[in-house]
Amino acid sequence: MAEIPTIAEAAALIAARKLSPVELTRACLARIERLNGTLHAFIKVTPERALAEAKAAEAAIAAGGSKGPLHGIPIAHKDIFETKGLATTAHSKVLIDHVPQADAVAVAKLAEAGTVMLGKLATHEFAWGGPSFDLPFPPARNPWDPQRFTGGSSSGTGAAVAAGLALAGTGSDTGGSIRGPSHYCGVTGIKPTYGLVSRRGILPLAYSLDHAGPLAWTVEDCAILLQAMAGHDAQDPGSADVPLPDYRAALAGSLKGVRIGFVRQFHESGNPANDAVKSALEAALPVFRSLGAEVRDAELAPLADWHACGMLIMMCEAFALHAPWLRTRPQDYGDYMRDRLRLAAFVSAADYIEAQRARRELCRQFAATMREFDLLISAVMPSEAPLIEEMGKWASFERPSLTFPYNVTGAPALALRCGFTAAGLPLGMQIVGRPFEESLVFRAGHAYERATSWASRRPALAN
Amino acid sequence: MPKPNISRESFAAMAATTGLKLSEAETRELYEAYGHVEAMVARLRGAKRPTAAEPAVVFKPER
Repeated sequence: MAEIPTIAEAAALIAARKLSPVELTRACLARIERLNGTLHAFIKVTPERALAEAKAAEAAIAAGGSKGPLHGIPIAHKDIFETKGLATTAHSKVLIDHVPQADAVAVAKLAEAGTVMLGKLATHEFAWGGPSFDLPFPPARNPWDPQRFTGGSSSGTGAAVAAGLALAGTGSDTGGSIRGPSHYCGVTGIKPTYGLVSRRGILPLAYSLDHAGPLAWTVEDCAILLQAMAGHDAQDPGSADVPLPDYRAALAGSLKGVRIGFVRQFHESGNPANDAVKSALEAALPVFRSLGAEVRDAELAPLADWHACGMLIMMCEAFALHAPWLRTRPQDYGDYMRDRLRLAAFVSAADYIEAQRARRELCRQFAATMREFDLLISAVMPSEAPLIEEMGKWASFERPSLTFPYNVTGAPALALRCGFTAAGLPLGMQIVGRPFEESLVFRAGHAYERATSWASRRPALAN
Repeated sequence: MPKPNISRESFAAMAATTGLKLSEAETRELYEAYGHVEAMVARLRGAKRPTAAEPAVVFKPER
């Protein structure tokens, strides 16, 4: 099988008995065999388990027991998502022997929906320390150019989806870890509203900022995946007890009259983007207008305020979690993670509280802006993927993050392709909504994706 | 990298309170990166919030 189908395409073919889940799984395993030595997207492949699950799915579907569009679809999990009986290492020597007794809730929900698990995916160490070359596994490489960075921390997921090693994968996002890899690897990923997907069984980085969500090739695929992953979990204190709409059904709606704010200030002055990113973002605006939306500039608080707030909260919460290991087993961390955590030890409790007070204020301002707009368009990264060797230890401190604002607010943010550089590297944008309004975010992303041809391009090595 | 305002001696005193075992070279590297923390903290401290401005994460009693 030469082409890499989307989940929606594969599901339709499986339902029509024109594609076998076993054939699809074998195709992914063959691509993993061919490309993982270059991409290092997977840190653990489970072929026997995958084929057994694919055969079971095929038999169940043949017997009329289809579980829906994810039944028989091969996916993989970021290695901070706990998997029962299968090591979950967080890409770290600290947890190299950690074999969970249970699946993370999100993993269990995707399994219940019928997905086939291909294995575990590379991450930055504990979702923050990377890209690092001194960990038990190498860092993932970008399929568009393996000398380049994938973004992180859902680095293996971005690489695996872009190269067609899996049709989708799980990601977590504390400051941009789903959206960064989506931008650099040219895939689609959603950081849903805080609390929409249970965090139980996902190794935490920062309790009040951690979100979980899917990365896949298209917006429609993300809608299908989020439907399976979302839902209230009484055992996750941050879980939201809200009704779940039918995300896929909502894709069909119109954008007529939808008010979109363009957060120009973030990439023009907050963290100035290069010309390729600016042009790609500007070119997206007339597409949305042609689809019936009203687009004008939106103003939020300065990007540096959002960054300071999010980064200080993340540092303190991460340090609190890691302090016991950091004091007793510092040598078991990679250099980047160890030193970033150590720096966090120098942020005071008073400053953490001040950051949380700022957060409430920033969220109130965001809510006021979102009374004027239904959606925002915002940059993801200021450039195309940089060379992996250029990613220094303090890179994420040197320029304010374009993604952190929406972790601070907890609002849903979808990252999707909006262009390519002259050299053929992908570029993305964020579509941001009000909390729990993923349906409108997906609708806008889907309409844009269908109006453009960016999703037709795959990395050359995947062909 | 922004230059830290705090002196090396004061930073070393802070380091001693963290419970971390740091070599001189490690302390020096963290000191140089500490300017980033100072800059972020200064942004947040610079905003004058009313005394009653509560943190985003608040305690809620449960039954």
